[in-house]
Amino acid sequence: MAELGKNLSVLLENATKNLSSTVNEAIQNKNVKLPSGLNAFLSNGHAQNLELTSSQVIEGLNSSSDKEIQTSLKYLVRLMTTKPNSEPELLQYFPHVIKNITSNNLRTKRLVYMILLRYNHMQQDIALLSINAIQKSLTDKNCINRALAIRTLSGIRIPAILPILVLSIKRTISDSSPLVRSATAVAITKCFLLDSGFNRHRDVTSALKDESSIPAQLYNFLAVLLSDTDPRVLSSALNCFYTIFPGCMDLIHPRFTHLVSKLTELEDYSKVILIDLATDYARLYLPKPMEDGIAVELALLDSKLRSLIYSSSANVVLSLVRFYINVLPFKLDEIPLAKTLVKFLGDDEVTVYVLNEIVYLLDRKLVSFSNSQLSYFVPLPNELPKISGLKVCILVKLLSAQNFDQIFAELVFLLNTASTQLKLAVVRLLNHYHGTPEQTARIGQLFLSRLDSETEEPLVAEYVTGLRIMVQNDLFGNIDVLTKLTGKLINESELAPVARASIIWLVGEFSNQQYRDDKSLALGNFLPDLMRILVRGFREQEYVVKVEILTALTKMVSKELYASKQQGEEYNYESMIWKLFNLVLQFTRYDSSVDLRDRSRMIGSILPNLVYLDEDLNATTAIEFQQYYGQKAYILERCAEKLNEVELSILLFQTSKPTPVSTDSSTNNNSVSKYNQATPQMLNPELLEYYNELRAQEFQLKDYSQHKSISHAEKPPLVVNSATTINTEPRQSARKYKLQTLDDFLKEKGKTNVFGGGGDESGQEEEEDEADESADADDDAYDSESENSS
Amino acid sequence: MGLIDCLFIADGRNLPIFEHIVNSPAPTFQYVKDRLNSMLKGEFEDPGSSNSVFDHLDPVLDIDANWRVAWTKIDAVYLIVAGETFPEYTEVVSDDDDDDDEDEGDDAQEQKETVTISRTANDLQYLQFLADFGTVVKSFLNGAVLTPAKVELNAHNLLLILQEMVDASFPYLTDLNQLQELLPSNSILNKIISTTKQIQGTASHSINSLAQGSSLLHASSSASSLASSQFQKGVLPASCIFEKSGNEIPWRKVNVKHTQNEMLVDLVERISWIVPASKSPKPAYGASTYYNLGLSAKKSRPVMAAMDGTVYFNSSLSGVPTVQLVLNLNKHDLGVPSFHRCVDTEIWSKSPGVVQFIPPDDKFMLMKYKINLLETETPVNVWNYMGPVDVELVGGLGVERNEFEIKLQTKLLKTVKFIEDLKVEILVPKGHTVRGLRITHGDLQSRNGVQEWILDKSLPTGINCTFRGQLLRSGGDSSALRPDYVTVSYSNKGSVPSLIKVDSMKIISGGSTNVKPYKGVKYITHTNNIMLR
Repeated sequence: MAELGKNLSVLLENATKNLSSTVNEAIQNKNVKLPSGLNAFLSNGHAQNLELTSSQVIEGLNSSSDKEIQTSLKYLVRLMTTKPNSEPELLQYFPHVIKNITSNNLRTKRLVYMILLRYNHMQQDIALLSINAIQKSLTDKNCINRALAIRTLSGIRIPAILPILVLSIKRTISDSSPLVRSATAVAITKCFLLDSGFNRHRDVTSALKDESSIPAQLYNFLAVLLSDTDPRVLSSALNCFYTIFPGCMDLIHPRFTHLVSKLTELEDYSKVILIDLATDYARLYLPKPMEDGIAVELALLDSKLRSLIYSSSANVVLSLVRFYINVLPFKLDEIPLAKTLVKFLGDDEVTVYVLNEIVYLLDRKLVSFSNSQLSYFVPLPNELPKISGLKVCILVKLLSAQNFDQIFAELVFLLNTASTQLKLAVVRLLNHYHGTPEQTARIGQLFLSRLDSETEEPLVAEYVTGLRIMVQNDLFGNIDVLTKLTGKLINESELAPVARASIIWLVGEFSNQQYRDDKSLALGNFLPDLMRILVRGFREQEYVVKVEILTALTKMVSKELYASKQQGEEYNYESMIWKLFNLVLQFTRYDSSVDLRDRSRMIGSILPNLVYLDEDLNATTAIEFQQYYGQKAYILERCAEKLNEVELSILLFQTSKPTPVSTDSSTNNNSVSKYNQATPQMLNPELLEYYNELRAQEFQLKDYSQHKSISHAEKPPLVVNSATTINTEPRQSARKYKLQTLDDFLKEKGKTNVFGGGGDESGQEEEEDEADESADADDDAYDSESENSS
Repeated sequence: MGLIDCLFIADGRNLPIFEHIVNSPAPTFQYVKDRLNSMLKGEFEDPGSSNSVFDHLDPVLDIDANWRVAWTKIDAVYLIVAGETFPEYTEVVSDDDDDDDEDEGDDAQEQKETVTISRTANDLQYLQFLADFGTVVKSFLNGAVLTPAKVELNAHNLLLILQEMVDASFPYLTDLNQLQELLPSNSILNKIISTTKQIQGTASHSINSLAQGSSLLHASSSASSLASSQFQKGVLPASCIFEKSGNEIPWRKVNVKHTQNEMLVDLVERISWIVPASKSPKPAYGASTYYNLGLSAKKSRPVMAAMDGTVYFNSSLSGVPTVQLVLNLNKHDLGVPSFHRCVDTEIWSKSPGVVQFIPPDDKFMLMKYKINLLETETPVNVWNYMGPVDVELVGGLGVERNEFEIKLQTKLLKTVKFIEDLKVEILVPKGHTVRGLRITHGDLQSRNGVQEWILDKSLPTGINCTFRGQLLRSGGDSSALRPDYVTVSYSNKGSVPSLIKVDSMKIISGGSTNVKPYKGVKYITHTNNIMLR
């Protein structure tokens, strides 16, 4: 029989599914003919499809049926949120909308509130008419209504309501429902912003000194909320603190332990705020933790944070890591940091931040990964390019003797199959990697083999750059590489200019060396021919290539000149290098690039040459050297004089160049490293005693849970010892509260000039209310006394 | 001022389709878009390459000195929030300066004045909010795919959600279960579903009572359905999570009653595997490997062998039950899993595998975990946990050694009947196409330059499939190259690759004692990335 029961329910479940899919279809495809009854039934739920005319909207808003009112409201809300420039149209309905604020239907009320919040400052007189109704909702039986009311009231951007708002906050702050108290924290923030919006140049610090100022009142309200025991209230109170009183540590000092003890129960967003705050707090106000002893407060915080590694929110975990690296770095080993971070790796945006965090920690050697964990960082074809880039970056950072083969194989695979962007990233990272000679040789081989088949210009340039760095680091160890590269200079006309320039620069550097073995001698002998080939196509080259040809020739010619001078022989002015040098000087002297002309002139003034010493030479003169020397022998004499300065040239061009410093690709000012930066200051030990006193201050812990009626809740253990717990009798929410409503106020003031010069009056009223309030408070005290005695 | 001052939703062409201002002043969508566009031009040569301005930008970024923007893509729409940034550091203010003036002198005061605390916002706060908002919206729209039309149609619902989710520029109430209580959805579908659920509940209840020999028909009116019908009239629920303080389980509705008690677990795992190329067998001339269907026994160690697991819990249980779910972890190391806030993590850390919690009513994500098979300390045969489909890619076959073969083997498993949507994507070097030579099952399809070997919609287990093919150059002549890699995707029900099982699931305290809830466990496997090189 039990089987039958199950079957039947499955049957019905299927029926439900089918029905809902039919209905779905019907909704999406309006052509489906449905029975008129069902059609009416459906259209009720989807009336927002309709475009309403202005009279229909007004009619709907003035209707007595909730359904019709909501249809109009939904239409208006849709206009408000989805159509830009719908403002004039909506304002025209504003009075009709506001009329419905007294509705008992929560949905209607919510929609009216939303429209009110958006346009109240544009039609202030009408908006103010709603205040009375909102205030009435503050005493509603239902906490959802009360919470909504105080949040809405505080969202009205008319400064005239400030006194009413402050008084309303004063009463909702001790509401029995945590939702309402939490909403009050929100209202405090908005009240503060509304107030300061109209006192822009006021200094908050000085305003706080005046007890009657609005900031000072709100400050005291927030102090009450921060003393609450309900995590919902504390969460909102912390957000409020963060937004409007971030520097007011006096609010935190006495409550620090209390707040920390509630950490794990807070909302995730507020956990982050509290952990971040506690991180700075610990540095500024707690004794520096040592491995053999940490402050009690920190020990509590540490124990609370341990369980947060299981959080499903990456923001909480990043905040936790920030705490440990700034405050308790020696405890980092105790939390499974690597595993806590890698669990967030996926294919979403959060992954980008977690990977950045890992890069940050790796750079500071704060986290380590075993070789078996490398697979977390293997790029996948279907993920965001940013994620793949970061993963490769991490892989290269993790390269070691043990895992080189493993990672290298992975990188080779990427160079075969990945996108150009990722390939570039791989090569750039490898270029900055300092490995053993064997590793470097393997990378070099890889690059050389890729050069031939690679067609993407930027990639070729990166390969050559890598090879250049390699040769520069160890010339004679990598002479074969250089030989192959020079071969490419001649054979491959498609070579990217950057690559070309890099190789030529390298050749120039090589020419400076003393050739030690056969291979280098052979290459050295080949250089003049190589240069001849390069100069032949000089005019067609890019700027970068031209510069490098000029530089390389300068190096070679100065080497020759210097050598002949050292040996006291006369320089051979028939040398190929000399001729090429002069030719290139002539080319560059008249080049279109200013920089190139400049360099040319500089070199021409240092080294002997024909181009700058002979004024008769111009751009078009073709120098026939043999003939020329015959005609202008005196030029050669000038050259010989110039030869005395050749040392300067040697100094300029033949100093050994430092190998390129690897510019770390992980920029250090990204948002993760900025975030991980806590306050740079530390505790002033002299003040520790003073801070301890501040922390020992008593405050009234607000615990409303004694009066709970919810059956399933158990009593929370009291954690805070230093504080006196006051079991506040929650104010009966439905109690009559004599606050003069705005309507009464308007009646008194007459119909015109509503708010002009009303300051005195409202001030007076405030006092009256204050009196009421204190009477109420007395009542409260009495109540709680009787409660205690009973 | 704060984290979130406004929220926009834009379509794929960067046109605004929804806007909500949380706190003014807030930037306009046009301004945000213009700033983003100008930032994009700085970074990329060709902004026209993609339809949306967002695709190339960081998920959280400062668009000028005052505003920070965060965005995410959900289905076909982009969610964007903008908020005013705080200064990085704030000075500490203290109102007891007066005391210091008297005795401690200037020294202490100077010290005080320079004290600053950092206020840099955690960028992930934005992303977390966007993710939460996306989850909530999708849940309220019954999991519908978010399209511009859908957003416009439900603009008022989105606004009602936002009214609770964000206030004073800060996330306010973001828990899905709490929102469901505060904002009962009254969509037509929910009405029908709740009504039919009620009928179904009553029916099964009466059958049960008949079975027990009782002729009395309980006129059981479940509180939850009563409540939902009240919502439709706009009447508020009688009791609410937030009515009183001291509620330690704010994620669970108050006074939950169900006529039919059940708890269902969905265990879902996504496979991520990378298998390096097998050593190509020595070509035996004449004998075609075509008839040798078995997979080679010798396999190289995978580059990646991991599973992402998620456990969903769906319950309708009366009262306040404490549920204990015991998983047989099969000796796997689950690392540091993520749990829903209702889970007692202490119990887990003491005895991994035991999840104890008071569940929210309805469906929620109980836990998430990651298994990295390569990371296990005890050597295991990782191939046992590869899921129900075994794959192999062999190149260099045939007389000219220019053919390759993909072999699939669906393992015989008692609990798995079918492999669903099995397909193999073949990624080839630039300018190449695939020619299928012999295909035992399914067929080769080419769509948008992607070549796929697609098998039957539901393939029975215990069979071998082979694809023999070669690569062609754009000219049409065969090439000696082999595919760069192939990726396999499928899904199946009845097992998860890690072979983790639910050992037991019981209510250890609370809840109604006389009703034995119906229990069910579903195992589902998806593939994230199975790659053969």
